[in-house]
Amino acid sequence: MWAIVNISLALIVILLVLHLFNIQISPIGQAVVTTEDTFCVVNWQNEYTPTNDLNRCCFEARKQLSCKRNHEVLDNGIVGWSCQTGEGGLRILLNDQAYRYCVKQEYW
Amino acid sequence: MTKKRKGVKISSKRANIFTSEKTFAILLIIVFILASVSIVKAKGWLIPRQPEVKVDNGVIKLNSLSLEQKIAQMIIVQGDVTSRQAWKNMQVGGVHLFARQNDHVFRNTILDFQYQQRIPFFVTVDLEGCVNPFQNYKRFPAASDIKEVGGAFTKGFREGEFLKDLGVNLNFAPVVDLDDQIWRCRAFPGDSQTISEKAQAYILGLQNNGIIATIKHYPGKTLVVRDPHKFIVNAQIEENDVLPYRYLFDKGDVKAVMVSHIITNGEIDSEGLPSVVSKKVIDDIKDDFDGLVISDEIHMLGLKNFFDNVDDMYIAVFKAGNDIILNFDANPNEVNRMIKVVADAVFRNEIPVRQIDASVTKILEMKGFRVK
Repeated sequence: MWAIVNISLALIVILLVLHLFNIQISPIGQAVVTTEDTFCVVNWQNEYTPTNDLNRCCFEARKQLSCKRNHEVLDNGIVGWSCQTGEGGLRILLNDQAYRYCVKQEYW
Repeated sequence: MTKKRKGVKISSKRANIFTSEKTFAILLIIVFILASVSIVKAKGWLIPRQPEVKVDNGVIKLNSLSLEQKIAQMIIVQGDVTSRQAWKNMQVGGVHLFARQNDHVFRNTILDFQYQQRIPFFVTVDLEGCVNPFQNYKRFPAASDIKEVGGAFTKGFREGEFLKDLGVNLNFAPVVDLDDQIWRCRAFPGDSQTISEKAQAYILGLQNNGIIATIKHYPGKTLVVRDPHKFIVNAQIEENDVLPYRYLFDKGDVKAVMVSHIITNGEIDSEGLPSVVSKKVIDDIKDDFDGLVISDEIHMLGLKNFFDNVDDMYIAVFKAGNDIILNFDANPNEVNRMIKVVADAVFRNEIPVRQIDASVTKILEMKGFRVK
């Protein structure tokens, strides 16, 4: 029992030391996030405009106060997340894949 | 005999447990220390503080700044409170604020950033069109709803008053792109001449309150729908697209322009490069305009995918002649690394030091200092 706990801690120590000296291990265990099957829709008042510029979309979503779970159904598919700052303002609607991509960006 | 053996067994088992417990305790302490150091490092708290800049009666001697301090002044970062000390230590030129919960949080954030800064930060926001980081407590009309030139002035003036009171000094607005096909609310309605006149009125309203206005995104065509699989975008720029910029440069009031990542041909030819890294595009702007040339945020794929590695991109945005570079990377260590990469490029004469000096002089003068 103690042996298992101590070996686990020793492994954590090794990983932390590697991290501290910026030594990266190849992306073991990291999810591969692509732009495939992503969609982003810009909602301003009654207009819903799909945009293919996911990068710009993520950036505008990041500018908003918060992104919350949302299950609106649009022509493009089911929305997973809605990012906005206040009622009546611009909304950025993202599906789950797009949101996962956005949160991986450097500025998020 | 058996009893004795049993006793030895029990005591050696106890000794093993004791050793295991001791090892566990030591490892736990090491994990705790290493985790703490990692967190401190990740927050950028290990980034060394740059020496204080000497300011004498509003005068700064340019050669009293180290090269790293000059480069840092040319960068605007994301104003994340958790990295505040790192940004202060680096003495970056400005902090950009995204939306926050309320007025109180905005004010406190700005006060904390500006506290004891010899060279104050540019505090920047995107209050433009219908993008409003204050939407949860303060509303402004969208640019697309502005029908008259007078309305544009009022919009600029009211936004300027509000931003000045808050402590913001640079706004990335107005958008002067002609055709907003995506957001439907970020640009003024009308033809290029009308948009130019409304933008000029907005700029006057905003700048009357001491807030620097930024026209964007040079040279236009950034709000149009794109090919889904192309992040690197080519656009044909017509005379109409550039008219607002030429009109506003000619009027001489606007103090900043933001350059986009689009590769352009036609009226403005970026020679196969994203505009923001095209020396030709930036030199052409500087021929007609002596205000600040600001890059769009550099982590957009339209720019990033153009380069084999991020260091080449860092060097290219400085080399092209941008005065201010927007790098909203949340990791202060990476921004600090960018400063070092660019400093090395200056030492190698890849970026002329006089170009850095000219940009820093412009920035410091815009912040109200006299530069010698």
